[in-house]
Amino acid sequence: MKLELESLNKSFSGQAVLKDLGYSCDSCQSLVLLGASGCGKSTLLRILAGLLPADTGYIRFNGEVLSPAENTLREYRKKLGIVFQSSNLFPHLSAYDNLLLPLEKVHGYTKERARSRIDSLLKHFQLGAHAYKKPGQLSGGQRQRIAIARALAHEPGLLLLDEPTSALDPEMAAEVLNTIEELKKEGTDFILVTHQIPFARRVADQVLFLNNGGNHESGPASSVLGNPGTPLLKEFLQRHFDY
Amino acid sequence: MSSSDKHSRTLHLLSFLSALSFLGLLLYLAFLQLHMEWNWQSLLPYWPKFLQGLWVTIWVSAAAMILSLAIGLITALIRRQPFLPLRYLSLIYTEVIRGTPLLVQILIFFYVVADAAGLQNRYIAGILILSLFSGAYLSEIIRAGIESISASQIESARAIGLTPLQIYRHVVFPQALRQSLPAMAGQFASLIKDSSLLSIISISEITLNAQEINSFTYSTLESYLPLAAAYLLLTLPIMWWSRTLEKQFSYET
Repeated sequence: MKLELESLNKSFSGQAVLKDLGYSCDSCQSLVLLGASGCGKSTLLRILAGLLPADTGYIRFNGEVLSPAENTLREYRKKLGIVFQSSNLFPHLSAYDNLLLPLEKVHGYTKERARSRIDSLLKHFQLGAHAYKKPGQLSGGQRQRIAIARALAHEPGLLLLDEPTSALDPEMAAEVLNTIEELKKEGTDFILVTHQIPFARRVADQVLFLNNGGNHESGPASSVLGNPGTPLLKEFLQRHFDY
Repeated sequence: MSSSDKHSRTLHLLSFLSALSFLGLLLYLAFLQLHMEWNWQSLLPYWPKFLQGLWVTIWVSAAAMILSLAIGLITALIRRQPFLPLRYLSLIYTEVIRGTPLLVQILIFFYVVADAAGLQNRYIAGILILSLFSGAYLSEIIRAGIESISASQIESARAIGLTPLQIYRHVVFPQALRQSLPAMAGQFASLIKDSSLLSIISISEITLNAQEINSFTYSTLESYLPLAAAYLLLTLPIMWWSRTLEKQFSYET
């Protein structure tokens, strides 16, 4: 993907969350957003996901400017896959129906075409045995993997993940992280918000480190994470390694 | 079924029966004090009238249930749309109806509003009043159900590209209705009992007919005890159904 952000601003009831944020990468497969809690990375991901309009500034995704109108944003969202921290799945629908709903109602798949797509996805993620369980009957890790499967079902151009493991215990988190690593190997483009620095090292091509709503440091993962240029990032990385 | 399950079921049955017979005994002793001379015979010619009244109660309540569900749904949705005057209209409607006695509403609606609108048929007027009354309660029940759907679910629904209408149709309504079904069933049981007040505008439902039978036969308790039994016959199944639904949903979550 090619991504350009130009002086993005966003505030909630007078409180500025993103301040003049600029960033660009030319052809990156995976971008990881890092930063302390409250630095604006989740807000940035929501703006990139077309769920929130920015107050001012531009986003160019593969050369196209993202318009802030809800109708165009919905069309844009259809081309993405989005995975949140938790509560991704609809609790009244089985895992299978959770995948079926967007394929059928948003992307116009026929029942047969959707079935073969869902079956192959569940098999791929080794979730076939859980297809007809409700989210309440699945473990947190299984739920997140179903959510990832749903985000991938319509073969989106880009996957956005907002701290997909922060609500899980380490074992379940490992399950989900392995899935994401697989996606990286398969060549899926994604933008990921995470606090897991070792994992970020494994999957990131590019890193954007936010501080106080601005781009504090960014660039190729190897240089930004291997040789941080600012004391703040150095300190941040050290703190997160300690844990 | 395991033996302990069977054991607890027997225990429940015995407890239920002893509670029932205790209350029955109290009632029996009270009647004994009264030295009642029962006169069920005098009622015999009036059974058809009683059943006719029961039939009217059933169809008036059924019609009011359907209409009140529609009113409740629409006013609950209006409370969530952005145009403020409409929102306040819905708010005033639910608060005024829930805050005033049904008796007063029936009198005002029938003698003032229906009269001014040229509505002559007292049965249609009765169904309308009952629906407006019950609709206000259902509106609050449905609104609470809709508001129980978390914001993160709505965001997730937007994220997969559903339109606002599709979000209501596939995400909000199925869950909100399941959430509010037990409370709605309870409200329906109340509606059946509340229909008895329609007797004051001479709708020949079962309460009015029982009152008339009483004035023909001077057998007050013989007229009203079957009346109470008839209401129980209608409301108990609904309340049982409501309780089953409640159990079912608490198990699922």
